Amino acid sequence: MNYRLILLCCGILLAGAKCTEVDVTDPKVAAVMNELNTEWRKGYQAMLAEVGARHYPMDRSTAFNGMRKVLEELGFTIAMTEGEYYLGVHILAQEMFTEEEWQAIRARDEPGMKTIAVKHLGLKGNFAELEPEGLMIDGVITLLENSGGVDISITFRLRAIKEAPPESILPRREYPPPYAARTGYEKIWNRFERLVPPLARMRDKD
Amino acid sequence: MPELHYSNALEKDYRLHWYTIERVLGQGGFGITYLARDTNLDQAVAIKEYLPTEVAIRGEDLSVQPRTASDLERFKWGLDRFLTEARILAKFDHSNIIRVHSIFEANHTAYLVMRYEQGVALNDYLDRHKFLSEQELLDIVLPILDGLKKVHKQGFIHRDIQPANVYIRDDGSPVLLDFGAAREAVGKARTMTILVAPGYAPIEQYFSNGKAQGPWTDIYGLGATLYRAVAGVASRDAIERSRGLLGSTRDVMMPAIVAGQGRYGEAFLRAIDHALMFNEKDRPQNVEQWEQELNAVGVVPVETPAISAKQDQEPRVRSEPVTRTFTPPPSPAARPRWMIAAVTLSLFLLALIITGFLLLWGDNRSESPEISATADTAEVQGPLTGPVPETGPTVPPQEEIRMEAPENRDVGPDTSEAATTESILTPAMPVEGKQKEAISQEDSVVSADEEQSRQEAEAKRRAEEAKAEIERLLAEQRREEERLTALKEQRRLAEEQLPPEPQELPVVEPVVGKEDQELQEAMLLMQNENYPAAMTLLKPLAATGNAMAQYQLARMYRAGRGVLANNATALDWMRRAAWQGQLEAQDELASYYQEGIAGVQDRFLAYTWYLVLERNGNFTRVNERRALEGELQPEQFPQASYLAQGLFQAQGSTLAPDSPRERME
Repeated sequence: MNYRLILLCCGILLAGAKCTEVDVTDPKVAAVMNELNTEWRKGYQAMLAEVGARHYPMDRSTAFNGMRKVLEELGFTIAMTEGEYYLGVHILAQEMFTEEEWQAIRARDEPGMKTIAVKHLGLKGNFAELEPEGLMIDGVITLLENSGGVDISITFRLRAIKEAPPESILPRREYPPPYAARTGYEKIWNRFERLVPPLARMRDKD
Repeated sequence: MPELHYSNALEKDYRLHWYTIERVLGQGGFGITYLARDTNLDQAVAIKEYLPTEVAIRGEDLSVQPRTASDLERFKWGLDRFLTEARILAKFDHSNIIRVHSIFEANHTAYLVMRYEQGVALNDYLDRHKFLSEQELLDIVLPILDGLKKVHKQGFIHRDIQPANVYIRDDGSPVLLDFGAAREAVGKARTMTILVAPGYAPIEQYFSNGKAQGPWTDIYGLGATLYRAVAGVASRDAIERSRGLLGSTRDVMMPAIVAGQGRYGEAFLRAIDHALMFNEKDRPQNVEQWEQELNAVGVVPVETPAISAKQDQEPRVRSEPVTRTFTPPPSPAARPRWMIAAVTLSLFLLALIITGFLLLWGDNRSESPEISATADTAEVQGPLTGPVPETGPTVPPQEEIRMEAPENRDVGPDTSEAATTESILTPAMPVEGKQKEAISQEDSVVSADEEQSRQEAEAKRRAEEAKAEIERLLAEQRREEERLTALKEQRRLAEEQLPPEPQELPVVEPVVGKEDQELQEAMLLMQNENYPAAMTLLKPLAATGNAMAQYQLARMYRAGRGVLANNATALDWMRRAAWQGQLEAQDELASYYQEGIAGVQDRFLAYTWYLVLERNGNFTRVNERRALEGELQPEQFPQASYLAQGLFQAQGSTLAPDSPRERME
């Protein structure tokens, strides 16, 4: 009798574990990925139009050095530069934000994500969590002179650095969740604007 | 800015009837164009003086005289043509065709008085604006087509349409300049010599006596002008295209539909490609036909172009085309020239067909030419601000091409081109039919095979002959180019004896010469695989900013020739060369980034550098770039395009010393 009870318990545990596994080849999971990418892409594009690029009345050299400093301070690795026109950067997704920032992002972006997951996966979709594990954020920053100043444009892309998500059934995706992206942009711009005007002034004095 | 010196030009304030010379606007092989003042009407005019420098010179009394007695006939003949055609030109009244006010003879030569147009030549305009929108281009080309219609209806063609001859007035309206009334004067005495603008002249201008030319010739020129605007570079020269077709049955010219993809409408690009068809019969046969194709583009909701609107407002003030007749001038020399043209054209056709045939039989031994675009060859001459540049001078002398008739061909004097072609091609044509026949006749399988082999051998032999002939012609062309270049250099040196520019000459000249010499030496050493010695020469050159040396040095570091292989240093030198606009370096840099040479893989940058390469007219890596599209976020395409524009404009600058590798190290 006890033997049967133990077996039943094991079965329940296994079934529970099965619920949280993700099979990326499952068409339903693929459907979640697609819809999520589509939705987040829309949000990302709207946000990109709003805060993806800014114009600053300063010379490109000042802007470039300032932006590089800001990104380094935020923990980005500068992987590549091209003159003072381009910065190729990356950072582990979990290092991009503080714990508090992640909490805020989860509160904003996770519900929408779960809704989509549930739509395709049923109740299992509720296990989906927004987590940054296994993702690298690749950033492309371009700086071009325009109208007596410099246009700075930033795009981000998510890159999976692990084959499958570790603990969540959240599928791999390319676009950052909208609120996370906005938070990231604001962090960069705010810090840049705090740092660079003094730099520019110093330069003027020289 | 120092004023340019023009040898043979009339001095400032010189009076020609009631015109006072103010300055030279341009000088070329056919004459000199001046800015002058009409003292009667108190207005500026442009005056073109007939002075073909190859046959005439200015005398001490300022009159124009033939250089030698033997040049007299040529000079006179050209003068007559100049006068006749100028008179015809003066009859045209169209706002987009240069307006001729009058013509007169003085100083033993002739003068053409034209409206003085203020603006900028389209080639300069394009250099400045890089790429114009489809609507902007239509606003330029449609009014000119309208003017050409008139011209063609009178039986004349321009024969030298190119960006340098399309002027954009200050009000934005276009005007077609320089119908080159004197051009034939120089061409007359030369056997099969034609003076054309490479990249803008269709093949029939190289190989025909005029009969094969018609409105489609001008349409080609306009198509090539649009191509230059769309692709950023001139289209491939017709000779090169013919060589490409002979070599591989593939046109070496990147079609506009590819070059302008994504930036211009498909219909618009197709219209350009149609105008640029290699064979004249494949092109639109008249302006109306092509105009319809361009108007069909009309997705761009064709509001009446600004230029046309201006025409409506001031219809009387401007206009007038000058042209030349479709029929060549009768002259004693005409017949032999025509025969030579027929033979040459036939040879080309023969080679084309035979090459196609060989390919069909799977015997493609020809080398595949690289698809790439050459740099724009249009030259600006005269003061940049000056209007009415002359066509003649924009075709540098070295671009004149002399094609002699094949000596061994026996062609009857009145044999038509078609007949000649047919007779030469006949043996190659029925091969396929005979082959089928042979297969169907089981009894004669063996003999059919023999027949087939014989025909193949015959076709190969003919193809070889044709190729050899083409090679000979091209070699001759090269020799002629070299000769003319040498002549040009002699003239330049002679002219340089005049007012010296003391601050520059002593320093710059020798250094450039030395650099070139050292670079050549280094290349030779590399060819001989003496890499260490080459390295010794290349390093200082590269350090002083010589892009070619930087590129070669990068390759040596990459391959470990003459030095320990070092990808990081290779990348660094390659970047420096690429930034200076060295196209091979840009190409390799993109592939470095794509492949992650030196541990730095950046597909965004690879994609961007391929775009820069394309902006420079090199489309050999379009497929690689497209393959990278999947690696980028679609939102990054415009960002890459914008960056490419920035890098393109920054070309020629020296790269800041902080390379990524340096920082990493």
